[in-house]
Amino acid sequence: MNFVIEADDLTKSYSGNVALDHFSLKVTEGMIFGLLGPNGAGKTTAIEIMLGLRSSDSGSVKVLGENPEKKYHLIAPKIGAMLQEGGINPGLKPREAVKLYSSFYPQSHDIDELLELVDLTGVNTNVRRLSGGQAQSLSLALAVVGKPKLVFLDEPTVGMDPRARRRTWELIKTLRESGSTVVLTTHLMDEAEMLCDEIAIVSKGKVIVQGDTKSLTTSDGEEIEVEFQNPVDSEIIESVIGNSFRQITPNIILIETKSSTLLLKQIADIAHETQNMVIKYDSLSKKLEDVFIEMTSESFETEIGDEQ
Amino acid sequence: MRKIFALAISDVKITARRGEALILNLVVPIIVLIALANTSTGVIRAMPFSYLQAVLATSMVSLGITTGFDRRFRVLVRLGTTPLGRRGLVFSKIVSLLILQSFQLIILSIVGLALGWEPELKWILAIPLCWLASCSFAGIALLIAGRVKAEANLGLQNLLYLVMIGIAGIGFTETSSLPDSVRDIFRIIPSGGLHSLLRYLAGIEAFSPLAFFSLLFFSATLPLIAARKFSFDE
Repeated sequence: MNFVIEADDLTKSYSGNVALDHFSLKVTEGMIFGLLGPNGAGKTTAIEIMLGLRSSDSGSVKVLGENPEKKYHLIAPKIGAMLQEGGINPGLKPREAVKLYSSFYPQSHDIDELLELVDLTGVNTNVRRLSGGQAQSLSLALAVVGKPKLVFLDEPTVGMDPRARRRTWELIKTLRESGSTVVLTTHLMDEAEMLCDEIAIVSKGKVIVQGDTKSLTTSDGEEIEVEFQNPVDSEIIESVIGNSFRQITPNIILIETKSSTLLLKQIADIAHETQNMVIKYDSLSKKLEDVFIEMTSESFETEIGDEQ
Repeated sequence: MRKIFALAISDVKITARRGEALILNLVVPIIVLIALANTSTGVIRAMPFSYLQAVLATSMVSLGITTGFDRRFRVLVRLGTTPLGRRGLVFSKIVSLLILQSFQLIILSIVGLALGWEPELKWILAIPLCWLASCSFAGIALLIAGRVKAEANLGLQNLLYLVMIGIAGIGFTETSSLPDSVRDIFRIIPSGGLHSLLRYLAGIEAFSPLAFFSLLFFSATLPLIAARKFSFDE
């Protein structure tokens, strides 16, 4: 397996405030990797260390096989970055900015094609007068103009309208298809769930969980909520599906199953036997947002416990 | 080199669009020249001083302050993630100001000629000499802008400008009563050195090897120190 990022036991403090606390992470080549975490979790510090902009207090990091702190110049031509807030000279026009950045890289995308892709064709105003969404789109264009092998996108869709957001998602998927690795930082769980192949959740400066998006959001069995029109006797339910259920109200039951097809047949049998009707059938499988809240609050509670 | 020139040209364009930069870099030096030329100083002595003032305004104050604010608004952090690198950034800033300065000095010379100035042939060396001095001033400006917060940088650049122009003004005028030993110390300082050498090119005073070699030394070392110490982020 080819790792484009290998961070091992990184620590970083700012005047006694811990930003990274034994942060370890591995990112495989060719995937969209999501770095999630609450504000102040240490994501930006970690990215800035990977980009050679900051040095860590201890630990080691390799990006595209090199130490970014010492040899960033060797990997810079293969890296694109979209950082949070500003970062583009406000006196430039979008086309000028893209042209300028394209001149920094050994190979680059066609400027007009790229501007069209981010919907900035014909926008001839200074960066300071762009809307928030347009500025984000330009920032994204600058991150990818050099056909990077590895792209860091820090909150790429903040301030974008739904259309621009979808366009950005498509662009990110295209990057993966062309072989680039994308490290995506986002607060939008639907965005992460839809785009990311693998996810790491960061809290209090450390990675508290890392895995592929599917396995994080799927438990051993799927939980299904079924609501009948009339009350159902629990003995009848048990006789059909065994004891893997909980009766919430006389009408509502929660069932854990590994086969939703079999369960559908069993529910139909219960409805038939009790001359009842099913008025609700909902999967309660975990969403990434649930995992995020669960994991970050667990980490928070552990910390409070440790302090006490 | 392509990267360095691309950013330098882009910076020149941005500066040309900023009204306050044009006032600082062009209008003020022209006013200084016209004002001094019409006093007892005369245009011959006014030219070296207005050249010095223009070089200091562009290479130190203007460059230092814009770089400080670019740093505040994370423009430099963003550039730091590209293959341009810290050294590329510093050198492209210097190239951009050399381009700007050439225009500035040519316009000043035209104004000087219009005021009746008749330069000696050796004055042609004034522009390369100013380029050399610019490297020193830019080194100082970037060293400060790359280490301190934007507001402190703003204050420091202006303060340093006054100190530099003061040294050049006090040390190298006809009314100066400073002993030669103090003047020699002033010649080591880049602004004093440049003024002394410009006055030599204007035929006002003798050539000072001390001023020339000091300027050469600082022009070679200060940009390198700035490149090494420059931090993209506040």
